[in-house]
Amino acid sequence: MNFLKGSGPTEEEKAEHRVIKHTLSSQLSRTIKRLQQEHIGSDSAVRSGDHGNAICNVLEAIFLHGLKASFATKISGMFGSGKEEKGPVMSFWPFVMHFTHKDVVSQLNHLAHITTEIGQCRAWIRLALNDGLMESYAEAMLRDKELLRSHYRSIAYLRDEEHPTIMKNHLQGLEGFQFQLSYNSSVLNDWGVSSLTLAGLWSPLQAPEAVTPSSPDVAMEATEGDDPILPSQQAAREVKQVRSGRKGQRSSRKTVDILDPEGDTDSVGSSVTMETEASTEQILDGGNRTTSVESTAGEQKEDTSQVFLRKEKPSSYDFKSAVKDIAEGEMSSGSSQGIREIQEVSESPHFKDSVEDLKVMGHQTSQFPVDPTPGSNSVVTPSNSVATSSNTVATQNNSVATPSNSVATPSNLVVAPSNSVATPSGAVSPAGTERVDGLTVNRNTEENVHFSGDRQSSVETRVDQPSTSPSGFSLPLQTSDQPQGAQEKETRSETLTSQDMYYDIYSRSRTETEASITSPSSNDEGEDTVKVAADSSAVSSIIQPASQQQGQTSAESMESEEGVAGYGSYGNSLGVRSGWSSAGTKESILANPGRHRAPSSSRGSFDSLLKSYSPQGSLATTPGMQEILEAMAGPDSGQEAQLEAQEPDSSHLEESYELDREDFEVLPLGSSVTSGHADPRTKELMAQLTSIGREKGLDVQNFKCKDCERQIGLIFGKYQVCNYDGCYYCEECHVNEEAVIPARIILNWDFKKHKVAHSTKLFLLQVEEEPLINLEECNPDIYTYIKEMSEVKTLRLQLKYVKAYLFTCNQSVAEDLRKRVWPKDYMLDRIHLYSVVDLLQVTSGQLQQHLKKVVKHATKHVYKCQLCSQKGFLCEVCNSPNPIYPFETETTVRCDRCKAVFHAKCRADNRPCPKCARRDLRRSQFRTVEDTSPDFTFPV
Amino acid sequence: MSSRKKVLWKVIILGDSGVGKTSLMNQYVNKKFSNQYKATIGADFLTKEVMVDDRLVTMQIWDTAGQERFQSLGVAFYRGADCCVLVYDVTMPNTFKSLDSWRDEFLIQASPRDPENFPFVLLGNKVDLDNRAVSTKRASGWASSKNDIPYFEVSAKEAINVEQAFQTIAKNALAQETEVELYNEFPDQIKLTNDAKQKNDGCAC
Repeated sequence: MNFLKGSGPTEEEKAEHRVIKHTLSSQLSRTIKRLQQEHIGSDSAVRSGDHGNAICNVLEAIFLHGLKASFATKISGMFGSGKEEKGPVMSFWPFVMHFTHKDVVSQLNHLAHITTEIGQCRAWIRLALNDGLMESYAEAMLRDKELLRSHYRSIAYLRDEEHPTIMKNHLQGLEGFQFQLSYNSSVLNDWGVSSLTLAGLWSPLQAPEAVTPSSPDVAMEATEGDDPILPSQQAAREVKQVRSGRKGQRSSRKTVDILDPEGDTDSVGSSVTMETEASTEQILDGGNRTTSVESTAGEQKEDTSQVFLRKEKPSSYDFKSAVKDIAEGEMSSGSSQGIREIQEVSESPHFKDSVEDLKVMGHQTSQFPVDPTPGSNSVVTPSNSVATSSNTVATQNNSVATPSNSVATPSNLVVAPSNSVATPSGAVSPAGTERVDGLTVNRNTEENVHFSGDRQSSVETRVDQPSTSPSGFSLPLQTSDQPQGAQEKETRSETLTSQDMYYDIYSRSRTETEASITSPSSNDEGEDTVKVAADSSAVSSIIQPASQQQGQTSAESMESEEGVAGYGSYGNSLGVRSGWSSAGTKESILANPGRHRAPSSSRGSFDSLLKSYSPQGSLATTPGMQEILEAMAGPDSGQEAQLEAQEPDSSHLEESYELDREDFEVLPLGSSVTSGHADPRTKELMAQLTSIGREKGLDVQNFKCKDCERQIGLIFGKYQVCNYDGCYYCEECHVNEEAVIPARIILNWDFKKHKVAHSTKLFLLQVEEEPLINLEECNPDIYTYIKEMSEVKTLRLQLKYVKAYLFTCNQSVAEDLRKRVWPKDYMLDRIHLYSVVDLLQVTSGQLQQHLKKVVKHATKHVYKCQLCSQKGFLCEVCNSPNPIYPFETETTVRCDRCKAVFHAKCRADNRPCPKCARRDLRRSQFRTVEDTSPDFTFPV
Repeated sequence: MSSRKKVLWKVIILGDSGVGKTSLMNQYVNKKFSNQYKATIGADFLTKEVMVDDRLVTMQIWDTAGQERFQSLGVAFYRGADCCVLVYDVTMPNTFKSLDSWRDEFLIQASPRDPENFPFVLLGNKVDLDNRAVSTKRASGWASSKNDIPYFEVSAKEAINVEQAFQTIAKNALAQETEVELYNEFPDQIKLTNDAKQKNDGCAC
């Protein structure tokens, strides 16, 4: 909706879109990952199943995001307009047409069942996937900046600086797969809910998604058999209507109404009551729905308590009913706006999509800490507390809703008597709920609804949602997880406070409601609304468990528990609600470390950042010289190298290995060094890295330029000597460029620039940041002769020692350290590795300064950390009770053999290490006394 | 009964890599068991509140890394320990053989006041497995030779005897505490028990 407001993006808007973009990227990666997991072993093509559709949805969302308004039909009726608009006809068809072969265009134009531009867009995406062309399309599109500019706003995903690259890399992960997606289907003629939702164009839609997660099948059922399911005729109708998804499901569109038996009731006032009814109906008992009602708001309150009890059996909950609920929820929301569209059941495809999304989301949610007990019961508890505090109808709704988000919706409706407030779909999905909340909040603020303030506050108490809402984001999927977890925890603990809050809200709501609410008892409604708002958060938490039950195995639930615990123990600052984006990233990374290691990972700065965050990454060892050389020499071109690294997604081990490597390949070096040069040449130059090139004479080169093989020397032509390799070059290949020669630094501490050939210069530029120089191998004496070097050596030794502490402490601590040295991971443990730039920084003192800072920070942590400080050593010689640490290099020494640490003074006389002596003694005793098997290792 | 109430007891779990130290701790503290092996990195502790003789005490249970490669971190946390749990794997004789080393190392690093009577507890883990390789007799023989330290055969997986073992551990720690109190009544005690080893150190620090 934001995108409708105008062309100039505000800061807020930018931030919001950043979140959306981030969500899109991660969603893409997630869906692709899932597809890979599912299909990796099989030769069969990917068909229009869950995974295929999920990917299509994300891609649709990506192409939709930030599409200029001129290419979309603006939605004129915003909230409160009360009139229904035809859905927005967003279409990127004009855009993609530019890149599509005319035959394909005509093919798409002539598809029998594709009748709209939207259909063409969607069919195009499927066709592109089928043909394996998506990546190249993306490539072409991103290159055409002008066209992008004319079709997309500056905040668009495709115009982002890094996200498209990420997308491209993700898409590479699809290379190995054969798609056979069906694209000639009338289903495609409208946007799917999930796509619009993902693109941030329609938040309410998410609700349906949420429902889906619990059971994909349900969605299907719902579409087909909604009517039978619903006990009450009304409900059935509602359900149908629910399918609002059809045409542009933008928020503006909010479809539907429904509770009305008559069908569409335009009057807003009536809608409120209807909504409540819907919620009541939703109360389900383990699959049996009790249509409780068309009671007024007041009645609902009474019912709520009962609802609670029933809902405790989420597991038994019927999918169908869930579907109904969802539908109802949507409807109710729709009614609030006064817009109604009766939609036909046929729209089921949307549901499927949403279901897929839900699954994904469900995964996330399951990982959340929220409720240790996977069972719905546990979930219920939090809701109960809430309910009790609020005491009334609202709670009921929520509780009822639990299974289906729909509950939330009603609440929303109530809250905004004037309807604009009500989020149509919000309630539906767990994840969706969060989003919904955010939306509602936004709306409130926009519309100056009185409630907004209250709501936010309530939200805050409960949870994460609040955080999002103020900023007006529709929550990104990932982010939602964290907040939810927080919510749940908070909910329990804060029941009491919430009660108080309710009172406040209540009083406020009264005044507000009176004006807007047509319902019989304005007070009650006000209360309800307030509660609802509060509840909606509760609902989301509740929903999670339910979805877990239904969709996830118990094992998974266990995982979620662990995840929770882990969270707590990590105390990760990043995780805990720092900003959205960072939080989101962190989460996703933590959640599945494997994922971002996936082939899709880009070498861009963003990705490397991610890696630096990743726990695995933090422990990754730096690649040895060997590996780097291999990486450099292996692939002919950088691109190929990338592909190679990315392709083997099949085995995780391989992946992680590749990734470790990739850490280093991030540097442009890989590509440039190898590209344009034959392997042997690069190797030759590499071999020369640490030894000073000596002139061998023109005859050795056969009087030919080293590079271009032009005749040089004597009568043939002038030549120049390259000071790097001592070879001769013609005047075109050697244009008197200058560079510092690594070997001369290492051996002579000579930082002067020398003249080098052009190719050598390029090579040196490419490797200047690579840690290719191992001083211990090529000139260990440098530490004794060069004061700065010995200083750096000490610092790096300290860093290595202190690293052992930080890396066995909290994950966050380890990551922090890693970030501090990033991208020079080798600084942590390979203390003799240097790049040319490092050496230059040694002379300038930069490196020492940086290292000092890092070491100081790290040692400070060790001293004050409850765990790290306990892992000190006790000097066995003096037996002083004060622990000493290996990184205290000035006062302590470490035994190279047993790693024991002693005071330097205590071992001044070089007496044998007592610990080693003990070990030796024990070993000899063992040999004589007992038969020790070869694999025996001494513990100490 | 005690004049200085110690609310926190420190228990150290030692043993070779893979004998199940972490699993035992997890079984005891969290009542959970996982078949997946994940080497403990460095050392970490969990706390658990237990009732011993009507007193509520917090047990700080230190789970250590059995692998040699983590010896680059110190074991200063040995010091001040109230009880040491030695764990071996009844299916792996080598883990039993190295118990001596663990015990000696612990005594040296922790340097308790009274090494002879420091409370150890010996646990033979994985009794749920069939391929047992260390007999009960042999283990209890070793245990009794070390000043009669209590011996339990446990299974972290099946939660066999785990609770009882840790109850004993807590009781022993309590006993240690009371003994310390007794000693404290005699101000000179520490000097008297100083052994020859300390005199050897020439270190002034």
